[in-house]
Amino acid sequence: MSSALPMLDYETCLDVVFDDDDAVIIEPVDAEDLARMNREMFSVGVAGIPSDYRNFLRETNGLIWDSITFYGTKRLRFEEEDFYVPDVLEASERAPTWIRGEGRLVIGRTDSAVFAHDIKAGYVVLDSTDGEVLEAYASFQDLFTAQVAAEVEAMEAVTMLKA
Amino acid sequence: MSSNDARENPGYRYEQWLNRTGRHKGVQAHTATAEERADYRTAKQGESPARSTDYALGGTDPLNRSAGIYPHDPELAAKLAQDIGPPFKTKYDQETVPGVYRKTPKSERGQVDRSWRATKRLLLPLLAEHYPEALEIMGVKKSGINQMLRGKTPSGFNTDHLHNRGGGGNNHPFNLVFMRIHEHDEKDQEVLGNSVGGLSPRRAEATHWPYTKYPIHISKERMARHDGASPSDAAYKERLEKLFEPTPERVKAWDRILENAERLGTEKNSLTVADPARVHNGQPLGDYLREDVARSVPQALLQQAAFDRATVIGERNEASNAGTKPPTTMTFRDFMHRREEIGR
Repeated sequence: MSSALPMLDYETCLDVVFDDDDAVIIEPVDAEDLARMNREMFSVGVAGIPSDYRNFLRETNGLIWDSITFYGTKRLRFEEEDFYVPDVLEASERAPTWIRGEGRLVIGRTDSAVFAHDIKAGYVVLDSTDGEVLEAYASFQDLFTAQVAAEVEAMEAVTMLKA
Repeated sequence: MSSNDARENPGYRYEQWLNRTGRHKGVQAHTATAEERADYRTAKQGESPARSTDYALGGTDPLNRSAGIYPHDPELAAKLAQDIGPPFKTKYDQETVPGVYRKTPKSERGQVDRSWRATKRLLLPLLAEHYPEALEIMGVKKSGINQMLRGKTPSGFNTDHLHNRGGGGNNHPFNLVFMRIHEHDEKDQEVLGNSVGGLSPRRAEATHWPYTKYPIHISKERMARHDGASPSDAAYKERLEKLFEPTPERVKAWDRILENAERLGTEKNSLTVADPARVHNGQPLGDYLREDVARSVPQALLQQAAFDRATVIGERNEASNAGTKPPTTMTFRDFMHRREEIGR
């Protein structure tokens, strides 16, 4: 994706997220849980978790950072706030047909967009209402980096404005 | 440990984070149970969009519609209702109004999307500072309000585009509504998505458009939880009116955010005075909008402004007669006034 975003790489973006005390970070997934989830996904005809996304889940098994959410192999329940975040299987199964397409795996969301892995197109950002593919990335690292970098850019813009 | 070491030890960052913050106390991670799977599988929606109209724009639209939300054009609303049925209230208490979702191709959304994240970071602190009671009623905790003051979105919440970006809307602060995530999903996927999901670019679909009058959406359910009793319709409305009363401090804050949004390069906020030469249903209709604003502010507001423009035009004429500069900017007070009228 061509963009004028700051030159941040994947590792730096991970650091940005992990350094933020407001981020919701989850204990990294283990091999057993990944295998369980993949078995469950295959049993209902949902594509398994791609290897680069598995690597991300080994950092944090799901993430909420600002308005960006990525799903893991566990359901996350927030008792105080009275809501839950689905696991990657539920997010994919619940997605309407115009988001799910043919075998897309829904891996996350932001305010009005959905993040998914598409066997043909790689990682995609979809309009959450009408399902149009807005952005496409070759790898999860690229998708993640673009999303975090865009937020960092916005933060900097607002900080400069206030200064 | 260097970043290379971290790359080879993926659990390293988690350990560091855990040592620094302690485990997040409010969240429990668990493997989904068979019952939980069964619950959502039986409730699943959105299998096939119920397309009722699917107009091609650019000449074949029998009503000559453009994109937008039409609560105050009775003729158009009546024609739309023939296609899509009467308005209803969503599960989370959003009114619906007739509208036309014009699928905007992504090639036309570039500027709109670039400005999105920054505009939101201006809006959230304003809401936290000026509407803390409303936020508390909708379920935002103190820690969440503190996050919002720093421009961040707390877990479980989203900022919605009243007039969706994909349907022609953009990031003007007046077009944003802070909501709970599942309420946002209901609006975008279960109501709008069920008629416009998969719509091809440059086609349009008449639809029920969920509409929230205020910059924060509070469902009756949340109000009942907070107050311990379910409010009547009248009490619910009255409470909302009070919560969002446009006090002088709030008006100032909104006008400041509009200036800042403009400085950030987001859409312009000025509404120029109507050109009385353009007529619709016997009423002069605006070209009182700048082209970019026409796509940014919910069409309902613009149409209401057109119907309500007499004052503005009168002021302009008076100003013109007096040889002074006519009013050219829609302030937050104008906006709230028009939003209130739409909600009646």
